[in-house]
Order: sequence, then C-alpha cells, then structure tokens
Amino acid sequence: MIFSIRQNSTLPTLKMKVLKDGRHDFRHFEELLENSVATFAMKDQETGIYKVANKEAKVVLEKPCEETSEKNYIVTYQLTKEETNKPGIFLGEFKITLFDLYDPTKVYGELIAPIHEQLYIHILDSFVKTDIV
Amino acid sequence: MRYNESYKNDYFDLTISNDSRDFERDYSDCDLINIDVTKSLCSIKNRYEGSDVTIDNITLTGYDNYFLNHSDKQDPDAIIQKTSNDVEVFSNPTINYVVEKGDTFCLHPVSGYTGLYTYNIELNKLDRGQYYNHLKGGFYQGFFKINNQPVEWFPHRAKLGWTANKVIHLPLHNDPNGKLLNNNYPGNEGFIFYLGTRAENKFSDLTDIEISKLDEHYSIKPKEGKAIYSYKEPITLNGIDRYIGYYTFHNGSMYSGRSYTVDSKPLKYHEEYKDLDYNAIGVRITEDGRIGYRAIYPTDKCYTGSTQDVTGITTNSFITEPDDQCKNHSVSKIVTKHMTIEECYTKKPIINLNENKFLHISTVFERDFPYNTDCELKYGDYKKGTLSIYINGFLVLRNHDFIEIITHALDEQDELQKTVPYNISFGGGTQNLIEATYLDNTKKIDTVLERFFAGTFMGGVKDLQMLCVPLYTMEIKEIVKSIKPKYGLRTINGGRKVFINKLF
Repeated sequence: MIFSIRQNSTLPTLKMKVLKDGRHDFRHFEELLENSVATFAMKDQETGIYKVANKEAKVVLEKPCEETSEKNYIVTYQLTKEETNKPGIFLGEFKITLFDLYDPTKVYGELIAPIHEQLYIHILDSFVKTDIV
Repeated sequence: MRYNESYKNDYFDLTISNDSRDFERDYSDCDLINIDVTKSLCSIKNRYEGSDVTIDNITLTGYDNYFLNHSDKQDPDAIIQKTSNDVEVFSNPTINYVVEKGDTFCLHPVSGYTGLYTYNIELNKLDRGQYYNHLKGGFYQGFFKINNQPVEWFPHRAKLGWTANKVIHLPLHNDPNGKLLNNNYPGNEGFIFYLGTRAENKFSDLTDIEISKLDEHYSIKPKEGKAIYSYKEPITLNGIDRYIGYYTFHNGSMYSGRSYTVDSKPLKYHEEYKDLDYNAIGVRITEDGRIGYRAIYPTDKCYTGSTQDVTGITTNSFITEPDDQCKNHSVSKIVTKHMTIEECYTKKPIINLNENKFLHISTVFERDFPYNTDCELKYGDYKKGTLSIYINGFLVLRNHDFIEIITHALDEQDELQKTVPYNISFGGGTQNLIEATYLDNTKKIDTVLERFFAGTFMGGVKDLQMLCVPLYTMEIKEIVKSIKPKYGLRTINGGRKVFINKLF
C-alpha cells in the first residue's frame, strides 16, 4: 500500500485503521489498541537509512464527535518538514505495544504493522517554497 | 493484495485510512470545574452569570459541615442546637448565605463541632517544585447545585456522562491513634472523590420540639394534610410492619388514614433510603493499593436472592461475587430490600502507596444511551453505562455494567435541605450526619451513609477537574501529557524504549 506526501510538507497525516475482515473479535482488539502505545519508523528503501527512527505515534479515536458506544481506533503519525525534505520511496512500519487489559506491567504482545503488505511512503518532489515567519 | 477468507487466521492488520476528518473534538464548553486547592478553593472556570441567590436558614443545614462559624452565645436571636454527643452550638437563625452573581463552584475544608474527630489539612507542602495540601484527617467538600434555585455549576445529569480528573500526592500519612474518621470507620479509608448527597435527611419524622422551633425561629411550617395512597412506597407501621393504604401528614409526621384523627397510627417512611438511591459514589484507593469505587443504587425489583437487613450492615457485610476470569476487576455487593451497595476494585494492587510522587486519576462515566430533556431514560438498562478509571492516562478499571449515578435532591422541603444534596468531595467521602446539629437532641436517626463513605484519603491533594462529558482515553492521555513535566508523572510512551516498570 502506498501513502503519498509532497516534499517539505506535513500533511496529509499518515493514518492506519484496523482492517475489519468480518472477524467477530475485533472489539477485543480495539480495546487492546485503546490502551496501547505506538511507535513509527521510516527508512529509505534504497539506502536503508532511517528517516524516522522509532518515534512515538498516536492512537486516536476515529469518530470522536459521534455519540455512539462503538469505538474504533486509528494509529496516526504526522511527518515533520525535516522528515519529508528528501524525495524518494521509503518504507514505513508501526510497532504497537499492547498491554494486558488494565495491567500496565504485563505486555500482551508487540505487533508490527502492516503485516501483509509493505507500507510504501512516496515523498514526491515539490517546487513550492514557502517559509512561515 | 486483496484480502480474503484465508487471512482470517492471521492477526489483525492495519490498512491506510483516507479519512480526512479531525480526530480531535472541542470539549472546552464542558470543562466546568477547575480547582488547584493550593491556590484557591473556588473554580477558575464556569462563572455563574445569574443574579444573587440568598439561601435562607442556612444554619439549619450549613452548620452540619461547619459551613458557617459559631454564633455568639450572647446574640439575642441565638438558639441552641445540639450535636448527637450533646455539644451545644449556638445558632443564629437569621444568618443567610448569599450566592453572588459571578460566584463559581467552591470547595470548603470540612470541620466539626463534636470533638470526636479531627479534620487536619497541612497546607502548601512542596514536591518537585509543586505545592500540594496534605490531608491528615480533613478533606474538601462543596455543593454544585441548589434545588429549585438558579444555581448550578455542574449538571446533576449530563447528557453523555461525566469525567472527574484528580491530581493527588503520595505517600500516605499514618496516624492509627488519631481521632480520625478512618479509625472509627474501618474499610472507608482512601476515598479521594465523592459525588452525591452530603448527608441523609435529619428532618424526616419531625418531633414536636423540632416543629415548634422551626415555626418559632425559622417560620417553617411542617407538612400538613394531603391524603396519599401508599402503594409501592416503603412505608411501615412503626418501622416494622409494611403499611398499604392512605396516609396523611399531621404536624410534619405521617399517619394512617385519609385525614388525621385520634385513631390514626404513626407511620415510618423509609425515605432516607430513597434519598440515597443513585445518589452516592466514591472513588477509593484501598490500603493495599487497589483502586475502584463504591456506589449505592436501588435493589432491582425483580431480585429474588437473599438480602441483608439495613440496620446491621457494615463494610464487613460485602459479599464478593464469583470471580469472572474475563474481567480485571472484582465486584462485591450488599443487597438489602431497599438498596444495593456495590463496590468494585482492580483485582490486583496497582498503586505503590509508599513512594513520593504525584498521580493523575481520572474517573469517567459514559452512558450507554445519551440523555436529553425529552427522554428521561429512567428504567432498566437505560440507566447503565461504563465506568472507567485511569491512572496517569492508563486504563486500569472498566466496568461495563455500572449503574448510573443521578444526583438528586432529598425527599424533603427545599428549606430543610439547602447545600445538602448535589455535593462533591475531594480527598474524602462524606461524614453524613456525624457532625450534624439537631433542634431536638433526643431525636435518633438510623443512618447508612457514614458507614460506607465516612473516610478520607491520607495523602496529598492538588487539582480537581470536572467535565460534563465522558472523555475518551486519548483525550485523557493528552491531558496527562500536558501536565506530565509539571508533576513528574510516569506514563507509558511509544518510542525506542517503552518503560513499563514502577509506573504508579
């Protein structure tokens, strides 16, 4: 899967949601995700040099303004200008540390996602130059 | 790659979302109470914009928690009120309390007259450059609404739920021989927050002396007349046999019959239990470091199991429900015919009470169904919701079967209950009528509340924040993140190293 962003920009934010493939137990995973911590890493596909070295990602609610008891969570990372200053193709990975529900001293497991596909981050060349002063 | 049935054996995966909506909401309108007890006991937010409201006869109820100072014995208007252990208090019935335009919700340090208990608070202790007040028997209390008056700093029932954020400080002060509520009411120590009625009704079943004094000094007449049929009401003949039939008020007391005659029999209306229904919840840290809550709600009418008698129940009467392996909390209950007292704690101790540190504790109630003025949502499952407790932004307890707390007024005339219901305590539960003053000292009231909520937290307190919306986990984490450097809070963060030891 491909996420595209222009050089020197910070938007769009990279957002990853749980793939619901008809499983009945996704609610349990959402609860685990709610109390998890996430880390994001991104490296150059050609050189293997890390552009983002294990920085904290956010786990957020998908629809915070909807009055419903159903809650779905999204893992997000907003790239900085420094992280998008070089055009190219990068590989991205999220590492999500899941805890035993309600027990912060026990790790339920560590999930590196996406699992089935590589996450390619295309930083496309840009010729717009602006500075915020 | 397309996903198909074969992938269902694998673990959950993530995929890119193209949702461009914001993942943040603005809940600032619901951020109603913000108090740093080391700076001011009044909230810096939620200004009251109405006109002045005068609370007449505050001495009838305000003295109960030392809300007002003593009156001078020489005062020509002074009348004697007595506490349950015969301490005389000179009360001036003409004293009023004025809620002025621009006032906000305020906490008051609790104190008392009886001399049986001390309510000490050591002010402005310092740790990590931050001041906190160390509770050594004392705690804070304040009313957030006055019944039938335009004073309401926090809704008695918020549309979706509510959140209470507290910053507290450890370790605990130890005083096993002190004159403390904790030492007289074992099993109640560790209450850090309480929401509900401050006390039960001390004016139920008025005596002749009370009727006389209320009339003479306060111009308050007792209830009179009104033939009411008592079906389904918890009325008994002299507190023993259930009474079904018409009853009427005479001189403020209840009697059988459509109107009072010499043949009418006195009735006892167990209104004190009705006053407690949905009207008391306390968040508590136990001596061994578990955290949870204790709450009161009416016993389900369809309940057919065994019950305990209200008069004999104590904190030793809780019966723990069978362990549910799928839940990380344990539930214990005292079921009586009138009400159920429920407590729920984490299964394991999770707080080290001996370390020197600040902790951020959030209590969040989220209703299963949103409430608004068109829909009362009074019955059955509609009153249920989820109660969650977080420490430093980490979810440690979640009960999906929590019965909603709906703070409400007492079943009493408004004049006789001002500042009593709709209370919030910080650093303690509630002392109920332990320090109450009585117009008739011969009157004995069998009360329940102090047996389960008269207790205090013996650590430090710093901030109290109340919101009329249930915050999401992510929002609580953001709040904790913003104050983490200030208080040195230990949180779990993503990154190269994830620290999970010695968090709380």
